[in-house]
Amino acid sequence: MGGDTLRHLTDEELTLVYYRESMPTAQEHLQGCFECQTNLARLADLLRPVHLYSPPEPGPDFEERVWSKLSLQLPKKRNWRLSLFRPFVLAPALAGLLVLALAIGLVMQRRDRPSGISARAQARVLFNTLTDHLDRSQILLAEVANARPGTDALKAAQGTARDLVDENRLLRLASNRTGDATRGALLEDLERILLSIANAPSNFSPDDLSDLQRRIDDEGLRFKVRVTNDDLRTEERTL
Amino acid sequence: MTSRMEWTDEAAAAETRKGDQNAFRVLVDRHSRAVFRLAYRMTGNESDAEDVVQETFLRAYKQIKQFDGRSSFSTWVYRICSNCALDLIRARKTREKERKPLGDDKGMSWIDQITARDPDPERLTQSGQIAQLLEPALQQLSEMERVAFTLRHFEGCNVDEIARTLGVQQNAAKHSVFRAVQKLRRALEPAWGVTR
Repeated sequence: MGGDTLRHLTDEELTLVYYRESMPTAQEHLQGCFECQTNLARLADLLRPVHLYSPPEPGPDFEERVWSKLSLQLPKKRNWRLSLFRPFVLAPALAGLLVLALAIGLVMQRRDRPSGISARAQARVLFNTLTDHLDRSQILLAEVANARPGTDALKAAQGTARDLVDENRLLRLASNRTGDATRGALLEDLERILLSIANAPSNFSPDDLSDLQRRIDDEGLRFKVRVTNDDLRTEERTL
Repeated sequence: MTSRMEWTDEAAAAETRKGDQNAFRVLVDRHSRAVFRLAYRMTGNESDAEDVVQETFLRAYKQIKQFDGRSSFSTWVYRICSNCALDLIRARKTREKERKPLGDDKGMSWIDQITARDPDPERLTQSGQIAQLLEPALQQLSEMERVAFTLRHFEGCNVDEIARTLGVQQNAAKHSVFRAVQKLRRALEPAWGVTR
């Protein structure tokens, strides 16, 4: 847009005028141009019904509901002795699931030969393994995200992270083989964080911990894992 | 002594940085509805919008040290909300194509809202026809176009605020709004051709 008030306004300029963000020259042209005024009125008529839409009001107790859920998730002091105990409870379950995930991987490799397991059963096994894996990953990510420097929280999480990395690799391969690129990408993001936790050196500094926690937050990983897990459970019900 | 409810957003944020979760509650109470509206317009349903609200404020609490007051708190939290909503949209496999049937308030799409709320017969006819074209048109918007359009058209944000929210240059924000309007226009013009 320059000082040429004889040229009609482009669609982009009309849009800016509609949203009251136009240049003075455009407004000056509009004052004297019936055709552009008509075009602007037509644009306003088209967009007017969109204004009729308004989201539902969530109710008078909305703020209270938001806070009561949110306050439970805000960082608190934790009993780290319980977290130290957890890996020992999980190890046998992890081993079983790894064998299962490996079996799924082997079954999927034998595409040309009948597997003896129906596609539906395979899908169900994969769903169960995935949701279980994501549940445990969520717990681990929450522990690391809330870990305080100077505690043994990260060290306690490393054993679990190592187990989850192996399982995650198999599940990522299985997801990619089934063409599920979205979940494959999530598992790839998750694997990077799990590797960082698993391979953290013994002299992990408070700054290193903060960086790791920031990475988890910046990537929105906990949220993505939770949303994907919720979706999986919904899909599993339809199998 | 100033009561909590009289705190400015900056003051409440400063107290939150010191670890005062009740100060953060002031911000949540003050901004959660606006965040819900934005989240609903981006995701299209109440349940997802509430998830986005939760995640938005959780991230805002954790990142409160990054809020330096250069923009308003609402602009800052809108940016977080947009990113959360985009994360949710991208994590879903086929969510854009799924709509709940009429009568289920939690799943009412934009179309249902427009047609359900219109009492005037003439506008009902126009908006009903336009509404049928609006939904497929909205689905054609890219994520950035949808966010930019929502912020511009419904939230009244200017281009500078949209650019800050999306983390892009002003020109990119402006073009996203324009492309969204063009796509909606192409979709809605047939309805006006019928009714006029």
